Amino acid sequence: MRYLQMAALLFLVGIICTGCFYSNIRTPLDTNLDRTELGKLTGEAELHSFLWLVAWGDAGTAAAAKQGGLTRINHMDTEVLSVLMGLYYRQKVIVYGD
Amino acid sequence: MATSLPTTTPDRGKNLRRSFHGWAALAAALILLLFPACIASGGARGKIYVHKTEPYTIDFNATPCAWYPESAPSAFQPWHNLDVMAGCNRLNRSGRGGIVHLTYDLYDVRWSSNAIGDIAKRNNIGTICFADLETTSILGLWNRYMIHVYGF
Repeated sequence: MRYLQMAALLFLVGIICTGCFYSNIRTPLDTNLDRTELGKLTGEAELHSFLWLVAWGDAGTAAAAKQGGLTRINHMDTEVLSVLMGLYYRQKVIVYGD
Repeated sequence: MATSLPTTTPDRGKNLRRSFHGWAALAAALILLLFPACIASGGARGKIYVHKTEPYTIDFNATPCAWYPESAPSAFQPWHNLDVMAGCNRLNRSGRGGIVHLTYDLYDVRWSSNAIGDIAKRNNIGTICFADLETTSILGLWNRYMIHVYGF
């Protein structure tokens, strides 16, 4: 009975905490896509978080545009890497343009 | 014929421990449910120190952007007009706001303004292109949310 309870608990945790152990996904930030042309250049900027204690980085639009040498921004996506429920967390902003 | 007496007594302590383990497991499940780090979209978090900048506006449609020369002032300078000079064909401006938030137990105090209109007017920004959000937090007690507005 005890093992059944533990199995049920693990199953419940697995359902609730989707992606808790490892997540590496890319999702759109800009959803205004009417006749959007991506452009030739891309720029990226990151921010990090470690041990749920400290977070640092500049993942702003200006930083990403400067990294890619963009003078015109057309679209923006984001990439998130999360390990062990956020023990290490990285968010990358990706901008597209010319 | 002597009847044998039971050699063991009910272990109430063992039952209590089993009950405690059950409640502890349920509490752990609830904590995991509420634990924000599980959700990848929750953002970077830091209980001790946070200093991060993230996009605040995300609607782009051939949006012009500004470059800052390497000698640009740091984020801790007082509000003033940051003109972008080299490398741009048009005069680009930016400005910043800042809401300071102090919180401890039941006390929660916030002041100042992050309104984009206020920032734009203060820095003579006629056309706003986009904005970023800079967050600084120390132990979760002192928090500063600063909107950077870029435009011309």
